[in-house]
Amino acid sequence: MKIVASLFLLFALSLSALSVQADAPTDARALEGVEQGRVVFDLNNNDSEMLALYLMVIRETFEDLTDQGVEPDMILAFRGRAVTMVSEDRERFDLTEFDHLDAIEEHVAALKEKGVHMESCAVATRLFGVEHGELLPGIEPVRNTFVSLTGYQAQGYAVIPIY
Amino acid sequence: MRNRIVILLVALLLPLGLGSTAAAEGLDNREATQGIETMRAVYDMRKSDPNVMLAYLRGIATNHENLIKEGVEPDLRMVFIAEAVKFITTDPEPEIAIDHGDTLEEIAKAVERLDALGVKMEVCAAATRAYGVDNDKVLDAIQPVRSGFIAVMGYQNQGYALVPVY
Repeated sequence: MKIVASLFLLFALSLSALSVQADAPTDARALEGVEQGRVVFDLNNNDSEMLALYLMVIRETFEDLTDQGVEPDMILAFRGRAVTMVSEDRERFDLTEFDHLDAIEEHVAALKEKGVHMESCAVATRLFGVEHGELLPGIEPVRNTFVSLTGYQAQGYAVIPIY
Repeated sequence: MRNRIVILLVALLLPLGLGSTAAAEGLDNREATQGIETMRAVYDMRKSDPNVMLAYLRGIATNHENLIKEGVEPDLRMVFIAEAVKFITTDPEPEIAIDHGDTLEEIAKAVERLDALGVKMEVCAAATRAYGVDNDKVLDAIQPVRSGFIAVMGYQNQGYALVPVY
């Protein structure tokens, strides 16, 4: 199941990285009248490989929006066990997961470079024993991600759950 | 085993909630629908089990009918993402066709019914490519789009509420 999902994401990424052909599908109907793509990704993965792959898809989504003339306004909210995967402290992980953690770190740095706002739930960091000072650069601790998800939606942001 | 439990749960819940007509007589959603003339929602369909997906498709059609009964005009969209794309093609993988042929026929009928009701449906082209589904073989009522994620966020940015179906 995990392998199939990983394959799907890898395929999706490799294909979306290709230049868009004239007859390729677009997202015109969904983007009709939308000048700014306001979205918060609710990242609650339990698996570092899947989180790394989804972060790749999110990077591609940023580019897909730009290509279609829509300004991305993206927020990433890490909660649950996902907060452990955006910490510089890797003692809780097996060596076999380090490649995925490296990929996560790279994606987070790239998203930070693009101006994507990223935050981490303080309830989750407390429950999972993650120090705020060890969060990857660009990730800001917030008090409660349930509250921030509510707030961002009230401000007009779309939400995309990544579980 | 887990799938069977999920299917059983959906089968039990749908008649009581989503799929209800007579059984829910006396119940309504007027607290949630008060002041709303048009209900705009996008269903983010990512089901990996065709039987469960069929149950939800039927339930969504009933959603549409129940909204009208409550005096609310439905404006519903659906986006098929991830494994769900494997079940909305006229040319499914042989294994899926053998194991779930009857279900796929029922899914096609459910999609036709949703289309007749006015539900606009799209499928993520990255997912169809990933799963080897030819966009030309996707059910007629479903339009391929470039990115399922962008579809889901675009509709929310246009004012549609998100209903995750995972």
